[in-house]
Amino acid sequence: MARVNEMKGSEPTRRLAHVWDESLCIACGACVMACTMTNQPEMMHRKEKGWDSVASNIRRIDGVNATGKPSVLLVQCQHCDDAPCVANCPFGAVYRDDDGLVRLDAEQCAGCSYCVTSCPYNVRWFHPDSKLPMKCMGEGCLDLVAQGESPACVQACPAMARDFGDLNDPASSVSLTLRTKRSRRLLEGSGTEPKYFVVEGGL
Amino acid sequence: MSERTPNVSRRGFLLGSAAAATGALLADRGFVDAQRFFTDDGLDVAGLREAGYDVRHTVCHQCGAGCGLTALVRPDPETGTPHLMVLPNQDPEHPQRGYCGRGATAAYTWDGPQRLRTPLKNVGERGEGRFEAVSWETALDEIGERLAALLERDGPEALAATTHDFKGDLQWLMTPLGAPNVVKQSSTCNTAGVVGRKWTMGGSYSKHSTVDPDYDHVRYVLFPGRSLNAPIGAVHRLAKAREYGAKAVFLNPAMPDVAFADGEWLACYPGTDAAFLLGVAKVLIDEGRYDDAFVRRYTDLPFLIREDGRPLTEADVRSGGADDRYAVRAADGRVAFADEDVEVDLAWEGTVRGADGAPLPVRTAWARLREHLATYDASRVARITGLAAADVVRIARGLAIHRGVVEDTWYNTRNGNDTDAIMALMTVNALLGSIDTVGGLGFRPSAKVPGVMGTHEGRLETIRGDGFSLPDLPKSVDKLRYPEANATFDAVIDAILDEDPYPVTGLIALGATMFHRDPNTARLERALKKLDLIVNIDIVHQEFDDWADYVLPAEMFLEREDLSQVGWSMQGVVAMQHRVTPPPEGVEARPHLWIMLELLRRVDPGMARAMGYEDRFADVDTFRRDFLAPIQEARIAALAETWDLDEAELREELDARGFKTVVPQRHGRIPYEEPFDTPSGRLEVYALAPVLAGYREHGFAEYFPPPAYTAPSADDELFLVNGKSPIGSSGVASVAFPTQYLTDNALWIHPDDAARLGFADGDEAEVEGLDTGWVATTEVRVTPRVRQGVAYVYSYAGGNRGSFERRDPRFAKRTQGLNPHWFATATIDPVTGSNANNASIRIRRA
Amino acid sequence: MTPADLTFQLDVAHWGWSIAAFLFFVGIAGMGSVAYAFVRRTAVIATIFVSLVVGLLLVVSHLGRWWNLPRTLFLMVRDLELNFGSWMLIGITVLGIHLVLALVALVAHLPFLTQRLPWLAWTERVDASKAFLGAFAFVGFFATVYSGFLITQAVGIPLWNNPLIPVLWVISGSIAAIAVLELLYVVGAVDAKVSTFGVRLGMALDGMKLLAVLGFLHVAASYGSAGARYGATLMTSGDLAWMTWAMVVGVGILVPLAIGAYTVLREKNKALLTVSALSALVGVFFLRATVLLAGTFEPLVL
Repeated sequence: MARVNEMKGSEPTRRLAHVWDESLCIACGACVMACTMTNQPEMMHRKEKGWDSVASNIRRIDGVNATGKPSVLLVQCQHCDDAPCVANCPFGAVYRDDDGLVRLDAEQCAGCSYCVTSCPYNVRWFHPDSKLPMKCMGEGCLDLVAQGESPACVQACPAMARDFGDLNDPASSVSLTLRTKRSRRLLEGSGTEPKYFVVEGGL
Repeated sequence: MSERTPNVSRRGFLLGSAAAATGALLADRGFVDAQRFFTDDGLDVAGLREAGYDVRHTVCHQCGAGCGLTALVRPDPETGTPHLMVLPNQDPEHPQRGYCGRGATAAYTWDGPQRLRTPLKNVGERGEGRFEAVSWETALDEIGERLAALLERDGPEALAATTHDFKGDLQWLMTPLGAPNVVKQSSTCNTAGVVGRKWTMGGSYSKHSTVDPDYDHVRYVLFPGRSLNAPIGAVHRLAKAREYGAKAVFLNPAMPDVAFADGEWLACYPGTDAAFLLGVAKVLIDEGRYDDAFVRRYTDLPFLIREDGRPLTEADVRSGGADDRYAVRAADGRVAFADEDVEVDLAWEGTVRGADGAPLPVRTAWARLREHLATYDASRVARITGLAAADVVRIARGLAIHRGVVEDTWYNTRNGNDTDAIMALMTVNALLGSIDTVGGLGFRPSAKVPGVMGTHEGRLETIRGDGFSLPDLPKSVDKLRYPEANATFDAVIDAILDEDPYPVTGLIALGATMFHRDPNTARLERALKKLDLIVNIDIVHQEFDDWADYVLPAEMFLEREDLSQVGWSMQGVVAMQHRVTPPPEGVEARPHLWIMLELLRRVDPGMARAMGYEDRFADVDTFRRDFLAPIQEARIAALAETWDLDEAELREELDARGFKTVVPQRHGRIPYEEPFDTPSGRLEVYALAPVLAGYREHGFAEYFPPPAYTAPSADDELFLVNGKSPIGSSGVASVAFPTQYLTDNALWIHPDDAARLGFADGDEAEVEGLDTGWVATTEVRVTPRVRQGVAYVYSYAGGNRGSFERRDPRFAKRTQGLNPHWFATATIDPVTGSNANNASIRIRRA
Repeated sequence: MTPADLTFQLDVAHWGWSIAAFLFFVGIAGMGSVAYAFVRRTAVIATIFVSLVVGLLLVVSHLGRWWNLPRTLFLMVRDLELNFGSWMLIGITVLGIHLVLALVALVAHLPFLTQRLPWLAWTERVDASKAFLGAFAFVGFFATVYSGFLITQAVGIPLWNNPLIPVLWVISGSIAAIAVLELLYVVGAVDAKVSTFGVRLGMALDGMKLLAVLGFLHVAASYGSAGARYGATLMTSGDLAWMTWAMVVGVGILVPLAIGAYTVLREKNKALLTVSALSALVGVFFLRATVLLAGTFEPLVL
């Protein structure tokens, strides 16, 4: 099977990554809803109980930055190169695919939630029907990516604050952005090698 | 797997598309295959149609901004049921393409649990919300009977109608009945802006959608009170400008979401914008950072103003002179007139000889402005606004150095002194000379979209050619009461409660969320209780339903057809709102005009016939085909004629792209080539209209403390300000399911206030209106996103007391939080009719 | 700074009471297996077996998709996707072996079975062998260690990424095992010698546990990351402080220590011993519960 996790030695051919530009995001929520509609339309009118919010793979976190200025952070699966959820899944259900995306094989998931507690970014939620741990990317966006399209959140963003592409391709828009703009990754010190990049705004 | 990955140009092109978003919407992921038709070269309409998709462009009405959307419709291969997906119009030339969190809720609304499905009859008390589903026939018959009796007993003035967006539709019923009181409610929203623009720039550019900064090229923009959540084209253009270093500054007691994106937030006290802006104006003048040529040539600041505040006119100095030729002091010392091409003396004061020979002391408006601004020194402005004096100077310099612009506002919450804030911001724009410049304040040329109904030689005529001789309708109650009012529904409430100037006993509402738009809820409730008949026409359940005797389900924008001009664009663009889909199964929604004419038919069959209504139109499909469709056909034909376009080609373009640009953007037009339609034709920093009409003693903007509420003074008293979120606190979007989670409905207070009052984040607070005495409890959010001394809630996000929310546990969160209108006094400016929806409260731990 | 400022995420991990109970029973069974090497009584092996079964039932019931477990295990074995980098898989394997060994020992103690089914007589021989007892003790010990590393490996919860947790689990598991022995003594299932030894060993372990708990809290609260500090604060002065001070330290350590001291210095009293043993078990359970409930994700914004 091609989908075996990286410990079995297969290296992804692409490293698809999300870029979110905090200097452009206006926190409009279009991506949050686009995610629900694309990936779990059956949850459109149902609450996600764990987060007491909408059932989206994107979470909004309000806070303040180092200078005390209120800030917003959109968090989703970071598709870590060294993902603890992949390393910890006892059943090999969580794996990294050829595109470098962290995925879940539902057939092999028993719902132990070790991936939930293993993720420093706390991005998973439980689907009330399938009891699967849900996260970015959902099936709808995987279909889109398979067709060469951007995920729903990228397409929905009216402020050009989101992008998605291959880090291995130096000509991709994400590579260009990361080459030319200051960016950071979340919990850099956790050793997860996340592939979700936050382009930084001013303070 | 495709090799193609998104790239910069593609991303720029597809921005805001959310194709997938909607892909799964209401339907199935099968729509994902439609993605292959979204190519680098645009939307492949032919390919999509070949693949069985019907492509229909439309205009978003989840809020009032009207952004461009595109819908794909395809029958389910198994059941034949049409599935649709709604996505933003992909065309890069569409001025308002894309959607925000509000547009994203369209899908939630169309077939959501909150959608009204059948006509409802209230079988309980007003406000109770006990309904019985009835047939359309029964509902219309009963309403018709009660309407006829009401009109017979109290006369047509006694029937009022209100709406947010559909005044024209209501007039199909009201005008034939001779009922003048079709009164929208914009007084807490646009009124101050409309009047402020009208007084400084004239009627043509008084509407909010006709004036906007040139975001494509803006380098520095100050937003007094505006949170720029919509329209999305403006948001997108500003985002692009910001990528290249444009600076956006937000003057606001609470930090708007859009300020997250690297914006600067100036946390001022509410109702102090005018003081700040006049402070900025003073710095610009004191430091010589104003556009002298613009001021002299295109503003009325060189005009000579008499001691009584009125402008000196030719009639004052020459017998038989015109009273609309405004006098200036020529550099050579003589009195000249504004329409003469003379070098003016900007700062002169002295005495001129009047027509009767008597001396008339006069000063230029400029000289008066300098004196007027003397009290707006940065340190006093800082005390008023709660900002630092250095902020005033810094923003003034930033605006001047970058030739920035001050945004002219759209929806801002109001404090009772708001018209002056608009005049003040136009003062700054005038000094900057940022009028129709690249990156300055721009003006939308009219696309001359033909109306559906109009008056012609004493006849009311529809575009179908029907109509009748129109008797002189009396003025509506809001215009009787407030001379400059454009939509002050409060006057109707007065008429209901005090029968002044006459009693109003019946109300028809069409798309009007009364409880979230009319300040002073207790007063509104008293008025609603007193009415004999209330009919509410809407698409979704909302609190006001409970107060109506009948609730009628209307068609949502996805189900309607219309032709309109795109707002907030520097081009003249016509957009076609195609009918994307019929209502979902089980939703007996009807077209607005059908409802109006069916009611008219029951009350006055002759008038219904005069309006072109035939008995066979009782069948709604026939009505759509033979009545509504020809209306849009006729409008398109008339539009083609106006712009000398080939009608078939125009139709094809509206079909294929959803819009047609009839006037391209061009800078430097107004007032350089076409004067403003102010009394002087100039940008009137000294507003002549209100002075000439006797409303004001002088024409300058000034700051005075907000009259709409008692200023907080004790430790536990705070201002209560509200505002919008780009997610859902607007229009229909506010009732959609996700909004209750994505738009916080807690009461925001600053950490300093929280510490003083003993609140932790998430605590419950009891809130009491200082003026209305309304008491409610809410969760508290402790956040630095609101300034000290001020509490904030998102508009429309909380305090829904409707029976729908109480019944359906999925919407329970909508019942939490506060509705700011509970605490607002409904204090109205006697001239402009501008209302206020901010307030002051006392807060304690619950 | 309030906790809300600090966490910005779901405050507490999804693992709660049921996993605490699972860890509790695994501790009893695991360290009980070590004790079994010295006290080969029917009551002891029965307690071990029952604890293991209850623990495993608890953990299976916690699975969101328990119905898919057989298929999951089948696919895992069929495809040889054995992720021994995961402590949970290690644990499943170890607990599986532990259960088998416990069953063997249990059967050896059930004469009515071995007499009726002579082919099971080998269990008695095996149970008597030092090799088996050693292996059983080792697997039990390892199961307890695993139950610590299980949460230590949960990278998302910094409070748990602490090497003291397996140590704490071993110490407290031992205390639990001794408490069980004391209770068995009270009901007459083991003899007084075991109990006397148990009281002295238990007091030593209580002292070590107190040190380890305080050390764990001190390190997490003083030198941990923001999430770990927040979790430790929850345990020391936050919503969970009552569990830490009253249940873990007070009931779980100080009460047994006091009763132990009385027993050693004055006299052995069965009623007091019962109180002491039950207190110790309560403390062991609440130690797991409070550490689990205090688990907090690292804040993403600071």
